[in-house]
Parts: sequence; structure tokens; C-alpha cells
Amino acid sequence: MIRYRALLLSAILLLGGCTSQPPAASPQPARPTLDRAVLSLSATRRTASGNIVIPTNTIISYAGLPGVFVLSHHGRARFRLIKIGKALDGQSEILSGLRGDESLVLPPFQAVLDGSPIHITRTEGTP
Amino acid sequence: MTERPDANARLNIAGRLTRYFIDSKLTVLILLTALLAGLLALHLTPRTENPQIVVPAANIIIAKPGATPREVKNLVVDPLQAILHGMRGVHHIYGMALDSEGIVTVRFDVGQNRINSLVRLYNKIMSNYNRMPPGTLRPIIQPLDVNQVPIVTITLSSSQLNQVTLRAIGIDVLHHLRRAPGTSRSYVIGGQRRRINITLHPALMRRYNVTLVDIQRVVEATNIDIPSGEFINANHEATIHAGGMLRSAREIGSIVVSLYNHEPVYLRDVATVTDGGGSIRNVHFIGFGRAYSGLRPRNLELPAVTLCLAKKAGTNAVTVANGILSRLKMLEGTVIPPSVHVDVTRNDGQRADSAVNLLIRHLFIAIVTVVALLIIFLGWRAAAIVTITIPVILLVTLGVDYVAGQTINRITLFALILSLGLLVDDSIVVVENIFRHYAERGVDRIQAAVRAVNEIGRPTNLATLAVILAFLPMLSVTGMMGPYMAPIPKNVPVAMLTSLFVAYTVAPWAARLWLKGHHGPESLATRILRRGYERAMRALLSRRLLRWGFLVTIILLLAGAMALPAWRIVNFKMLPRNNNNSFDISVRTPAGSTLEDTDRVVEEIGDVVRQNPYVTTYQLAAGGVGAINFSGLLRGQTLKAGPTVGEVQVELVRKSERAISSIDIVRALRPAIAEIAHRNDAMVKIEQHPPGPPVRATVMAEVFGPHYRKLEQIGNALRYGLFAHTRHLVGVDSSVPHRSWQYTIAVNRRQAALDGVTPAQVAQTLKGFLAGINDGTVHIAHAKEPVPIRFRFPIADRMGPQDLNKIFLTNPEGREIPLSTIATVVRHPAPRPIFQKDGREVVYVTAGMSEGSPVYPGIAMWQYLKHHAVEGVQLRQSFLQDPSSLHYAIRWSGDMRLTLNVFRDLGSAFGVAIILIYMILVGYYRSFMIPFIVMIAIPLTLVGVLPGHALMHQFFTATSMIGVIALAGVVVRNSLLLIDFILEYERAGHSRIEAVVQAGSVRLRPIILTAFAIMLGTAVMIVDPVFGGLAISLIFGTLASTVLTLFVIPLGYFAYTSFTHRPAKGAQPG
Repeated sequence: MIRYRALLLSAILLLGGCTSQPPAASPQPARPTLDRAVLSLSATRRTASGNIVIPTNTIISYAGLPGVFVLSHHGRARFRLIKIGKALDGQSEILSGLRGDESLVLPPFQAVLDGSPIHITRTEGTP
Repeated sequence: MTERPDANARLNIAGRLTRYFIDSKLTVLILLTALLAGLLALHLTPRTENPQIVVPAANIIIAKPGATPREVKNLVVDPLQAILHGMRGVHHIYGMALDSEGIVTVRFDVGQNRINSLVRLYNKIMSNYNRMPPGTLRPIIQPLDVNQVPIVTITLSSSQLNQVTLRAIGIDVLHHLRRAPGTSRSYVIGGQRRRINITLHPALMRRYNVTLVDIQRVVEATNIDIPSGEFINANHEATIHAGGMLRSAREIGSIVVSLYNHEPVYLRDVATVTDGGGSIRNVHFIGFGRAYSGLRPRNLELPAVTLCLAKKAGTNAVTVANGILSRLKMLEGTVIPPSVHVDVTRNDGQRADSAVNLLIRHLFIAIVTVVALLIIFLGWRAAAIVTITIPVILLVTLGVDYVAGQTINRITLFALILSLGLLVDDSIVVVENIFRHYAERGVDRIQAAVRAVNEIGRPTNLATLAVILAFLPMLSVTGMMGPYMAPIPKNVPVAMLTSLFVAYTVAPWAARLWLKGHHGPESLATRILRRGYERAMRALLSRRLLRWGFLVTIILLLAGAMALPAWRIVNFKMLPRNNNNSFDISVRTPAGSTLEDTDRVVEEIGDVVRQNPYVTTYQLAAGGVGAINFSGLLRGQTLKAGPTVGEVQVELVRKSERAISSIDIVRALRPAIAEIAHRNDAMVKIEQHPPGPPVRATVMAEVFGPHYRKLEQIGNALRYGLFAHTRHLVGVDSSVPHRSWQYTIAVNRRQAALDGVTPAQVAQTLKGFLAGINDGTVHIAHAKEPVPIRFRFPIADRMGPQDLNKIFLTNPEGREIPLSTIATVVRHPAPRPIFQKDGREVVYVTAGMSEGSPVYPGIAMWQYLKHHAVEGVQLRQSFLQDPSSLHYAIRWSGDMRLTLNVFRDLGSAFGVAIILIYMILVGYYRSFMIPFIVMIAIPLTLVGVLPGHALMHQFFTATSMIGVIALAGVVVRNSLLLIDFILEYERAGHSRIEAVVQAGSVRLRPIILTAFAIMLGTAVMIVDPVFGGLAISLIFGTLASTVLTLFVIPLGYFAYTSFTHRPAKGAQPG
């Protein structure tokens, strides 16, 4: 009985509000949590001029933009635009875009989306 | 028509009009024509959200390579300002001297003809161009035009397609959309242009002994195609092209650039040739908020391009936008690949349409309320008569708008809602009087109606004229506020005149047909009211003490109301904030920040914005700004570019569909965004679209003075001192930039000469090394934008001054000279731009407001600076006049100055209106004193207006002031009719006391009725954030004034006549 009343009430509310009902917000797409290792940049190598050096295989191209996946505060992989300098022995010097307090998500990247929740399996780079 | 011998002789205009139209077939025709014309106009008139304000303006950009800001100021900007100085119609000239470049912005007066102004500007500059110093490049004149502001923006985004492809798709789509009728300027933001990048490897170049100059020469010589005549043979002609255009990266790579050991050296041997985007100068993303209702992409933010389309002047934003969007629908799936995500991120057409439709709905509600009121007071027959006049009058007004080339916008509709309360009055008065006459037994219906109209014709004409006169002076409001508010003084008088005409023609015609002439019993409520009024009036008239008590009470009430602003219970503001569907967040990272830095800050802001439940989409831009809007155009947003510039444009759920206003959304976001700004040392401003004309900044101090260095110091002191510590100021900024560094490569001329290298060669080589050189374009048949060939060195080779050692120059003898032997690198602070306003050097300190009115922080800062010196200098302050440039002085500008200007203009309009009303009243009564009594009603409105604002917790705004002006017309009408009846009764031989009491008692019903009509008619406006003030003024002002005038006016007249008539009776006025 109560359920019917609730239904009726919600139907009335819906009818009353239907003139200016906003289109319902679409649901968030499925972004499955991924198990990935991360690399903390706080202790990685720096060049003489203070630039951060990261493994070249962490660099991705997001629709043609060079960048890396940085682990956000909410534990998500977020795209970060970078400027790449010299590359040597699988390592690349980053001229701009990283500050050194970030953690990079490590490959593989096929399933990683901008915003994918990351379950950290391992943290590299910390002494 | 009934013929009466004495008819014409005794009738006034009103009576004559009525007599002609009361049984004429023409009335029906007029009625139908007016309705049809009005409906057609409603459909055809272009719709805009706000009135179109024409402010012609242009940026003049002149480059003088190599000149410092000081040189640019002296040699380019100053002469240019001198050239422009004498031009007619110029409001302000803003100068900006940068490194190697000068920008002068010319703002013409509001309302100047746009094309005329720009042609004159162009002519003036071109005919005086010889006065520019040698070495300056051709000026670029960039007109800033409202019609450049895109009305529709469409964001295409994709996680797969690269920047070049996405942009190419964007250009292609734009090409199709441009065919929609009525579109004008259109362009694409974001993505990357296709380029052929020739990345030179210095080491390889040295090995093969090739220089940049060599390569450039060869490429230039190869990339050529000349129509070289034609072959004629066998009656056929065929044209010949000679040369070989470069058509692909491969072709360029296989150019032979030199010989090395008798072997050809190909370009690909010394350089990597790629077809692609090249270095990234700006990035553009779209993000999807919690309220997004489309198909959500799986990534949080997608790289995007935004297509911007503006409309032609005079076209209807609604139809142009619909045309564009219907075309867009056809392109999806064909020109736009399925992997591209399409979002309409701005649709001003729809915005204007929904704004107009909402107000039309409000207008309808207002009409229904007024009709309901009429039915209650007059009975349904009389109410029906008045009701049919309402749409006729409103539609005729809209028709006049259409013919006059006006648009239908929010202000027009507010004007109509405002006039709704006023325009029923004439018909009510007419119908009421006809009703009274019909109540007599055995009257001829036509004659009685004519007589009834004739009777009230003169005071009704006068009252309508008074209302019109109250509004007309508002046309003289200066600045951008003038054209913004203009629909009110344009529409209300038209509506009033139409209502007068309709009241004399349609109303009696309908009354003759429908009105029954028998009085029902007086309703209980009105009887109680009338009895109560009569009793109170008699008591007041008979007891002197009571009269004095009443006078004192009124004076106290008035004083109390006036004290409210003084006690800051009612605050002044030009216009309150508006509830919008979008807002912008502009970002400036510290000087020297990279694009990546800016992008990171912008993205952090995006993260905050995304969490808000009302955000549908947001676009991020770094390295440039997003699609420009009107207020951004006037803020100089078009000139902003570079790696430190960023912007976030946020779209919200439509305001009709959300419970909370954009003002509150911004307030909720502010702390988190301020925290990001603070953490990154960035300048972040939230720009909400102003409800009225835009200003450069809400609070702005212009500091003038003799020495620019000192000005900069004062500017910084104000920014970090006074402004930072004043309450409610946010986003404090100044035009003094942060310190940043610049490297100069100083060529040792002697050594260079000995080595046979010229400084020009050094500069050229360096430019190629650091910035890259564009040289020609490749010829790709399907490319819709030119594809330049760009030479540059790998970014890893040019990180700092130490990399300059890698550069070698070749002297004429073929010897290689390392740059380091002939030049030294010097680091020094970057020269700072110099700003000028109207030819004087200026430093701007600006701020926004978190809440409240800018007037009060302004006053606080004024007081502070009056007593305190800044940087050891006592600043002279001014608001309106130009400060002298011999002393350090500050001129307060921005919203606050606009507020002052607007209140000054509206105040004088009010003054003029009062004088005009007084003059016509003097003409009517042939007395100097009686008009004063009539006009006592005007100040009495304040008793309602100011407490009304306090009660509703609203600012007293420019629209409130318009309400006060409108009230002057409205309340004068009531007192006019009161006095008229008193005089009438006195003429009929009643005693003065009886005349005063009876007039009030008879006029009580129509006065209360018209007052209610105004109050209920405008009540729908009260929720509007901008025009709420107008509604409050009208509702509370009418309430207070009606109640008080019913007593004050008769008493005032009584007191006046008792005083003047004491010695002798005679001399009846009128």
C-alpha cells in the first residue's frame, strides 16, 4: 500500500515537474579499476639542469599529445601534458609538465583511460 | 452614427474619437489588423537575450621588430595616438607597448555607426602612415565587433584522432556549417595545423658541411611553379607549368641539399622530415560534468577542437543557430566520423529564445493575474472589455518595435510587463465611467458612453502624458547603459499612447456591446473600505491635532526610509548579478611558466568544476583562450595568448531546469578554485557574464603619474597592500607583470667583423635555431588550410644558453665560426610592457567582487587613500574628471564608476521628468501651488521603496531607480484624479469638506484597482535577479504611495485651500 502511495506521489511530482524537467544526467561510463604499478618521481634521476628523467615507455600519446598518466589524489590515472627533451637508453628527459611530486602509472596502457581508477600493485622509485 | 446638433462643439478629443469609433465597422478592422500585425511582428522580430549595444572598437597592432617597450611607446604608440587623437566620436584610446610590438585599442562612443567609425579609423591611419618611424611593419587593424562573438560553438572531441586530423575535420565541418544562412565570421579553436616539420640535426649538418641558409635556399628554389606560357598546336591551346611544387614530406626529404665527397646529400640525411603537428602551442580539452546528458565518453577529458560561428548583424540568432544545428545533424556520421564526439557548447539562439519565451510566459501570467483582479472588482463583463484591450496594446507595441528595427529581448519584455500595470488604467477608467453612466435609467447607450468618455478625457490624457513624460528623459542615459535600457523609455510610451487610443475607441465600442448598466449590490469588502475611509477622513478633517499627528508620522516615516541607505540597510549597486547558463574562469600562470604548467593548473580547475552537480560540459584551453564572448571582447580577451594564458569555460544545466542560481554555484566553487590559484601562484578570475553592459573589471584603479617606474611601484603597493586587505575583493591583479628573465645574445662586433660574420646572419641563424623558420608552403590538394614548411632544431638541443655553443656560422670563406667566439649570452630582466590610456601612462589595479556591491569597498579605499600615502606619495583621487598627469593620481573606474554614472544619469532623468510633469500640471490647473500638492505623492513612494528593498534583502539597483521614475508617473495619476474630482464636487456646489471626503470615497475603488493592477502585474518580475529591483520599487512604492496619497492629497488640498481662501472666496482654479 505504501509503495502504491509512493508511486502515485512520485508520478504526481513527475507530472508537476515535467514542464521543466532537465534531461537526466547520463550515467558515468564503466571505468574498471586496473592493477598497475606506479613510479614515484620524488627520488628518480634528475639531469644536471634539474629536469626529471622518466622511462620512455611511460610516455603515451593521447590523440597526438605527448604525456604521461599521473596518479591523481583520488587514485585515478590522469593524463598530463609534457614536453619531452632528450631520449637515451629507454629514458627520457622531461623539460616541462612534471614537478617531481607525482607518481606515474606504469604500462601496459591499452586499457587505461583518462580517469581510470588504479589499484596500486607496486610502488617503484621510493628508496 | 447618431447625429446631434451640439455634438462636436462640446466634445473634446477623447469624446470625438469615441463618438466616431463607438459604432464604426472600422473598430473591428483596427482590432483585427492590430492583432495580426502584432502576432506577425512577434514571429518575425529578431530575438536576442539583451539589447544589442553598438560599441565600435578596434585593435591596431603594429610590429617594430627589435624595439624595447619604451622605444615602441615613444616611436610607435605615441605617434599613433597623436594621429588618432583628433578623431570624432572616440571615447578612449588604450595603448600597450610591448617588446617589438605596439597595440592601440580605440573605443568609440556608444552608439556611433560602426562601419562609418571603422572606415574613418582606417582612413586616418593609412593617410598618416608616413609619420610612423621606418622599420615598422604594416599595421593590422582588427575591428572588435559584437557580431564577431560566436553565437554557436560546437566542440568536436576524440580520444583517438590526432590533433591535426581533428582540426582538419573541424575545418571541413565548419566549411559545411558556414553555408547556413546568416552566419558571418567563423573559425576553429584548438587542434594543430598540419605542417611539414624539418627537424635539423646540427651534428649531421656539420658533418656534411651544410648550413641552414643552404638548405633554405635549396628548398626555396625547388618549391616553385610558374605558369610559363602555353603550347598552341592543332587548334588547341594547352598551358604549361614549369618547376616542381613540393607535395609531400617524402618529396621534401629527397631534395638534394649539397654534395659531399661527390655524393648527393639529401635533406633526409641531415634532418628528419615529418608531416604532422609540430610543436604544441596550445591545447584544448572538453570535460563532462555530472549533469551531462549526452552519451558520456569513457575518458574524463578529451582533446578537442571548437568551431565558432558568429551571425550577421540584424539576423535572428534563433533561426541562424537552428540552421547551423540542423546542418550539423546532417554531417554527423558522414563528414564527422563516428569516433568524434560532438557537443554543442554554446547556443545563444536557444538562450535568447528561452529567455524571451520565459518572459512571454511571465507576461501571460501577469495578464491572467490582472484579469482575475478585474473580474473580482469589476465583474466579468467589464473585465472582458479591459482584457481584450491588453493583447491589442501589447501587440501593437511589438509591431512598432518591429517597424523601428528593434529586437525582442529581455528588456523589451520587461518594459511590456512594466507597462501592463499602467496600460489597463485607461481602459479601466473609461469602462468604469461608462458603467456609472449606464446605471442611470433609460439612457441612449451611445450618447451615454460618449459623455462618459468625454467627462474623464482630459484628466486621463494628462495622466497618460505624465507617465510618458516620466519615462522619456531616460532616453538620455549615457554610456553603454543607455542603449541597454533604451527599450524601456521606447516601449512604455508607445504602449501608453496605444492604450489611450484603445481606451477611447475599442473600449467604448466593446462597452456598448457588452456592458450591462445595472448596479449590483456593493461588495462587502469595498463597502467596509469605503466606510472606513470616510470615517477616518472626516476625523482627520475635523480635528486639528490629529492632522498634525498625521503630518509628523508621515515625516517620520519618510525620514526613517531615507535613513535606510545611510545605515547601509539598503545598499546601492548598479545591477545585481544574473543567473546564467555559463561562466568563464580565466587563468594566468606566473610569467615564465610553460604551456604544460598552465595546462596542469587549468586541469586542476577542471577537476573541481567537474564535481559540481550542475555542470554539463566544460572546455579547457591552455596557451590561448576559448571562444570569445561579448564581455570578454570588451575586456580585451582577444589579445591574450601565450603559454601563461588559460581559460575554463563552464556550461551549466539550463537555468529553467535547476533550482540554484549560477551565482550560488560560483560561490560554492570559489574557495576550491582560490586554493588552486594560491597553490600554483596563478591569477585565476571567475568571470560571470554581467547582466548589463560589461566593464573591464568590477573594481579598477587607474594610477597616473609622471614616472612609470614609480607608477609600477605604486601599483604593486596597492595590489598587495590596500586591495589585498579590502573585504570582498577577489582576484586582485595589476597590469604590472611579475619579473621574468630574458636572454640577450650580444654580438662582439669587432670579432664578428674580423671573422666575416654579420650580426644579421647571427640573428637569422638564431631564429632558425630557437624559434624555427617558416619557409613556403607545400602544395597538398585537399588541405583546407595552408601547410607551411618549418625548419627547426630538436627541442633537446635548445634548452638553455649552454646549447648556443652548438651553433656554428659559416663565413664567406667557408670557415665555420662557433657562435660562442663572437657572442656572449647575457641574462637580464625582461622589459615590461607600458600601458597608456588616452595618451598618458597608466598602471591598472583591478579586482573582482566575491559578493556585495563595489560601491562600498570603493568608498572604504577612497577614505583610506585620503589619509594615507602609498610608497611615500599622497595620491590625488578622482572619479569623473581626468586627473592631472603632473602628480601621482588615481582614478577610480570599473563597475563603480559606471554605477555612479548611471545613477547620475538616472537621477537627472528623474529630475527632468519631475520638472516636465510639474510644467504640464501647471498648464492644466493654471496654478503653481496645486501641482505641488499633486506631486507630494512622488516623495511618498520612497516610504515604500526603500523599506521594500530592505525587506527583500535586495540592492537598490539601476532598475530600482527606473522603478522610482516610473512611480513618479503612476502616483501622479492617482492624485491627479483625486484633485480633479474634488474640484468637480466643489464646482457642483458641495462644501469643501464634503467635496474632499466624497472625491476620495468615489475614487477609492479605481485607485485601489489600478494600484493592485500595477502591483500584481509586476509581481512576476520580483524573482528576476536583474529586474527584481524594478518590481520591488513598483510594488512597495505603489502600496505606500496609494495608501498615503488617499489621505495626504485631499488633506493637502484642504489645508492649501483653507489657507488661501480664508480671506475671500472666489478664484476657483481649473
